[in-house]
Amino acid sequence: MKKSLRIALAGNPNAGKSTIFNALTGDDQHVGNWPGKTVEVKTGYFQIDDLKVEITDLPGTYSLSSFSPEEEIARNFLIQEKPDLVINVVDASNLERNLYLTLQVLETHVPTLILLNMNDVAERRGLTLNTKLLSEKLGGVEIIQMTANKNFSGDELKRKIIATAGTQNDLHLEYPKPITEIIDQLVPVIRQEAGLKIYDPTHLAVQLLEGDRHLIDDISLEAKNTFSKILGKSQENFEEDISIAIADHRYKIIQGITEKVISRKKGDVSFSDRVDNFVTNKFFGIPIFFVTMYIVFQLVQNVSAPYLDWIDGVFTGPLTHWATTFLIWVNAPDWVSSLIVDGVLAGVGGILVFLPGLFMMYLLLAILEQSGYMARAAFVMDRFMNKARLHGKSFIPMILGFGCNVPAIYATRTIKKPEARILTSLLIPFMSCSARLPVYLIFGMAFFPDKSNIVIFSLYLLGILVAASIGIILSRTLFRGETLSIMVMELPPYRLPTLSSILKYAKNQSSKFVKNAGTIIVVFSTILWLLLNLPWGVQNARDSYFGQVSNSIAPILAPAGFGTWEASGSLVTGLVAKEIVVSTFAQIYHIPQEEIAESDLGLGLEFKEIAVGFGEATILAGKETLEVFTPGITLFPDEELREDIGLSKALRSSFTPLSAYAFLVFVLLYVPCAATMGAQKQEFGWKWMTVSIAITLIVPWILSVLVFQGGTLLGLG
Amino acid sequence: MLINILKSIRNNSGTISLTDLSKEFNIEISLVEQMLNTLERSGKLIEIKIEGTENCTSCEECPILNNCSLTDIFQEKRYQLT
Ligand SMILES: Nc1nc2c(ncn2[C@@H]2O[C@H](COP(=O)(O)OP(=O)(O)OP(=O)(O)O)[C@@H](O)[C@H]2O)c(=O)[nH]1
Ligand SMILES: [Mg+2]
Repeated sequence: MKKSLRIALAGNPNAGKSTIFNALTGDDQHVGNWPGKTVEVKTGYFQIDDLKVEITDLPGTYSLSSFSPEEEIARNFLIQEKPDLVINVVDASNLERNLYLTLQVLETHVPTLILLNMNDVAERRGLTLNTKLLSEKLGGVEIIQMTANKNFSGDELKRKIIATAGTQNDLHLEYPKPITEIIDQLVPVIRQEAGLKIYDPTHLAVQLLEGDRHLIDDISLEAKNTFSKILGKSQENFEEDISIAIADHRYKIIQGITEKVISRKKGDVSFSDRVDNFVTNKFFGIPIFFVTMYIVFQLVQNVSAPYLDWIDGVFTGPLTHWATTFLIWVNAPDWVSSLIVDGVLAGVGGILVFLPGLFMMYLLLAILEQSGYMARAAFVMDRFMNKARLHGKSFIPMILGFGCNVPAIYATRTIKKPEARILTSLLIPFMSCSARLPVYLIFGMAFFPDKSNIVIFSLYLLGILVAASIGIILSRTLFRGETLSIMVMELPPYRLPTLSSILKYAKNQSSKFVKNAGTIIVVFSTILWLLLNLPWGVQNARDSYFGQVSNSIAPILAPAGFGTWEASGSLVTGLVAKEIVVSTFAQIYHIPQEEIAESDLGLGLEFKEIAVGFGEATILAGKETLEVFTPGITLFPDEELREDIGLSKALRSSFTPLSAYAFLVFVLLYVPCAATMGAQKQEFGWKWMTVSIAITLIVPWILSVLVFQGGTLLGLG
Repeated sequence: MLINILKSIRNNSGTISLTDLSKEFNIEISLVEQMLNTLERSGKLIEIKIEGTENCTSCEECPILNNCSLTDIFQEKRYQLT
């Protein structure tokens, strides 16, 4: 009898191989790389009686073809190293899926022991497995059941290992006749080749038919030619490829086995299935998605409003006061004070007020994502996009565009067809990126205080509709001949999101926003302040260089209802980045420092005021959040009307609700930002960037004019 | 079986989910997953990944607004007919 054994663990990813490996070997293991590959392979040892066993933890794979380095390593190990035994670790809760690899392992005719693991999970899912029958169906292979991470029975396993090592496994898969005929032609050729002696001839024949041609790279030219002839003819007689026919046959066998071996507790449609039936329903899917997003915006708005007042109060009150006091104390020249107070503080403050709202939005998106709903929503939207005749792959970049258009443009690289790629990149700017949300929020609150969520929601929707319409138009004119392709996607199970992970996500995203406000916005506010004050000493901002340029553009925008220099100026600066639209308004409408009533509360009282304000805002936000979930019922009657922030008042002096909405439509649809243009130029060149800019100037103009003129006709003006 | 799944995907006019397929053929989702995996190997389907974003010097450094908040959606696998 041999004094040592070499065995291996093979199985699907996450089946529990390493758990078993660790339990068997303890500390006696080392990690090595497979020659020429970066995939880690662990080897370890254990002793039983006077037998030393070397055990290799193979990488987890779903099959044994050479599709990936992992699979190649696993297969080569079984075939070339000819271990005394392979322990096939099988996830009992997922038998259907795991058996594919099991069949392939058995086809190599290496001695095999099946370790049915994860029995606790199988039990929880109401599955009972008849292992005796399973063993029978698999040619009498030995099977042991286990829950490796809870009660690992090492001794039983070790005994079984000794008993099974070196035994023959007798499974012979009978393939259908057309396949067997070809195998029968291949086998004699394989037998004759000295270089192929290590292989089981039938198994090698099957592998060749499955496409692993490189297995015969190193054989004589003569034999190669014979193989090519046979393999070349092998495709006849098959509806699809012969490789599909072989795989199809394995699946038939698997189904035949699982039908008999698994018994399920009947009648329990899983929670996940029940929810999915509803959420991804052909008719309800989209409405449900819309309602969900509506609630999200409602919450974002309800949380935003109170904090917005508070942060605005802090910026225009104490912060400005402190800055002014400090600047007077250090004897700073007037222009420095103006730059800091009217420029930087106003600009940055104008943006930072949105932080609580955005934080809320990130929080909600993280919840939707981690619970598994986002994947469903994406699926539902997917179907919708397909109807709009968009290339299936367009969808990912388009959805990415809701976050930020720039990575979305780069993501179009997944689309191989150049026309489809360009088309998608032309539509991305219509996806409402998160930088546009502050603009919607500030206008929403100023003009539509009770329905700003509907307004915001309608804008997102409009973006999608415009993208879809333009997609349809372009795909029938400029980009004809683009065929549809169908997508299949996976829906993850529903999970309960963890508080720590959603908070972490929201925190990360928010800190990016703050960083942005601290860099780009500061720089840009400074530049804008300069432009608003040149020629030096200009009294009225309208007469500044910036005002003059903006004013010359204004008439073009007049038909859309916002032909003021302030509006056109903000749109011009918004070309740099959309949130700058807001900071520009904040700077333009900023009440110069001298006019602020000197508040002399003293530092302590001011701090107290800030803290009290925060507390009040939090309570108010909490109340309003609760009310979202009790539609129609007023839990907390409004004690007083919320005070307006200065910017809202200023905006109301130059917009009507109708022109404000037309303005938002314009903001939604016009050139997203400098970075997006840059990305388009880099990816598609000047020509397509120009086309894109043209589209994103003409389309918003037409639509905002339509909104304003249409609205006026309807008497909404 | 595998062939029928392939046919069903081809005949469908739009996106279908693994759940749809699992219901249509009355098989476990995990088996559908494995079959799609096989179809991918034989070149009938390709998995769609977000490649190409490598040129974005990571979202962290996205020049303008780096809150590409929806990237996480794409943990899920998507396949497309070739
Ligand atoms: N519930 C349960 N969990 C198990 C069982 N066996 C292992 N696990 C857990 O399943 C997870 C995956 O186990 P691993 O041993 O790492 O799986 P693996 O087969 O080595 O996975 P790869 O290396 O990715 O191929 C771990 O978290 C284990 O703790 C079991 O019988 N029941
Ligand atoms: Mg492992």
